[in-house]
Amino acid sequence: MPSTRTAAHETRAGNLPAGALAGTPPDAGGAGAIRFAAVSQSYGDNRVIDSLSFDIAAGEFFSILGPSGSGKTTCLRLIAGFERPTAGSVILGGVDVTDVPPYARDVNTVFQDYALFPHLTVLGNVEYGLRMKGVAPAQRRARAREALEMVELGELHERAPAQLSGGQRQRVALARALVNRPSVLLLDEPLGALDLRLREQMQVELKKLHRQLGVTFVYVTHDQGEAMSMSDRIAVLLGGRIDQLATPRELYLNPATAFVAEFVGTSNVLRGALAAAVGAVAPMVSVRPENIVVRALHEPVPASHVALRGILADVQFHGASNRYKINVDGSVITAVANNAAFGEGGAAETPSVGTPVRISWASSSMVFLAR
Amino acid sequence: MGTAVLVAPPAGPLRAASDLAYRRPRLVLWMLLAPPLLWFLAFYLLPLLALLGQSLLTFDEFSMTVRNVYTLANLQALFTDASLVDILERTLCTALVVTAACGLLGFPLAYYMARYASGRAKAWMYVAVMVPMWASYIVKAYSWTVILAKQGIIVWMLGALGLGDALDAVLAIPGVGGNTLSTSHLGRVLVFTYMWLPFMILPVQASIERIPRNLLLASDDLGATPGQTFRNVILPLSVPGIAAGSIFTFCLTFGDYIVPTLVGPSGDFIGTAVYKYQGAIGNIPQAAALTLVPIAVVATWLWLAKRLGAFDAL
Repeated sequence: MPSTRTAAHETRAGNLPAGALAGTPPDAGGAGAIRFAAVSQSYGDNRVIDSLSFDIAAGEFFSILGPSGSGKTTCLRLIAGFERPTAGSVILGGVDVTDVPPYARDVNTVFQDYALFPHLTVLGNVEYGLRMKGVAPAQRRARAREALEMVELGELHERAPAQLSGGQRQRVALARALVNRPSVLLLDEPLGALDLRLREQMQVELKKLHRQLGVTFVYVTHDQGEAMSMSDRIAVLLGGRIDQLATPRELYLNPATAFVAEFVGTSNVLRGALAAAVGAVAPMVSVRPENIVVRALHEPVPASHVALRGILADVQFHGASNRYKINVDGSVITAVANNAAFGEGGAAETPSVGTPVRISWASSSMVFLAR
Repeated sequence: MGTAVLVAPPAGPLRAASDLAYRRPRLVLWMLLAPPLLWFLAFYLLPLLALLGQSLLTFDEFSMTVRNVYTLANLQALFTDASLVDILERTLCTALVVTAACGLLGFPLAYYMARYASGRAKAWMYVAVMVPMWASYIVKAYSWTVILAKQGIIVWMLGALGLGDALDAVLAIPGVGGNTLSTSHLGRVLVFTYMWLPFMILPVQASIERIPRNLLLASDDLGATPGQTFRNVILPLSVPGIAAGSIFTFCLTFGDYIVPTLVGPSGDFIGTAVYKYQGAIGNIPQAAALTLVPIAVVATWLWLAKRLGAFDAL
């Protein structure tokens, strides 16, 4: 783990002025702050999480992003207390909770499948946590109704969960967790089962709730777009280790590894001879498609650009933009051009498929990757 | 190009039948449903109605014959005739106690099978629960008379442990005991519980197994202690299984006439009474009326369970 982080910092330092480095270590003592101290989790011989250490600040919107099997849900279950780590400790609000059972932790979870109790009404579900803690009936009813109002489900409290749509169940699950006023809210791919439009709407609402409540949100997802649009910081997990932990902007502009470059947004990662051809000082180079300019061979290239020759293999029209596939010595490079940039009659300049073109990008937009 | 996209079977009666089935999906449905529906109608529903009808006929005590005169006397006797009320009370109480005993013994085992046992252990538990069900019922009942006999293994073991006096004390309790263990109420309940326990375990186990694991985690997450989770999530969601299991234990006790004959104090059960009425006496109407009792009791029990919301989560 330490070697990974060092590598990430070195790469970043090479690309960014020191002041732009985000992800400063937060205060680990406040309610809602979470610390993983060398946490490992194994199931038999299968090591799912490998000596993870990181801090989440109180009140932060923190995302754990990774492909399936990267250990992201395990991280969440360790915070909730559904699992006990094989090594290391989990610290919540400055208190070591490694051996504290889930029901005694000031943490609530929104499950991926919502896990609403089928034998209770919506109101019964939402007031469940308060009932377990012995809050008086009148008071817990009032608080449950208030929570349902907050997620705009005020009038559905007598329904059974089976009578609700997916989006409504999602909101009930959210209200059921938030009514307990936890210091940390854990969200396990909560939008995974919703359709695109609802997902986008819920992203806005989750962000709004986060601002309103000031609760720490820990959000697990495999959808980089979701993580990018909502999070203060993102930990990109791969094989039970953190590949990079940074703000969305930094992840995008300065990916630490080829995996992060390709997983967060799209990127062209050039390796071997191609990397050497563009003057790379590392084994790999990442270039974002929107930084690449496609030109006919006779057009001049700015002096600050590095350039490559290739054959235009495909052009896709995406409305606001065009997506080009350029074949350079057998590697396919993707470039995206904003159609507004062409101006009047600009589109006429687009080279036709099958013709040789020159692609170029500002040397400053390249990110050198050690691994 | 030129390859056939749709391969049609050759023309013929099969093709015609297949076309008909495709055009009329309902016809296929009815062809599939008709045999079991007819079976159900002929062997379950009609006999039940016949039973109801027969319970309304008159039995002439002098000629010992059934006359086709409708009367409610047989049904009325179930509530007024002291000997019949006695039989019903005895059967009902035993069925309730046996059902409760099966539930108390079966639930922990079913819970363990559903939640903790895995792989090989679970397979062995299934075998352990089911194998006794395959053995002959009569053989099991008779072997219990030997086990419970005065010279039997239980009495001998309790004596060896110095608990002979304790057994005598238990047997002296009215309503529980009897002259000996094998002629006591306790012995009878023991044998019934042994007989019907698998019928409780299997449905309860199935219903616990169907509770999504995430619901238990959610309850845990919302601050419920393990005991609270058990009372508020596991128990309510396993009620359908308990209801199904208790219907088995209830009905089987109600209809049984072997165990009451072999074990326990004298006095008829519904099963033995029906056997006597229709066999020895030939009073089919009264036998039919008695047979309706278990049906009415179970129907009431189901209605009550539904009212209590036992099946809402299905």
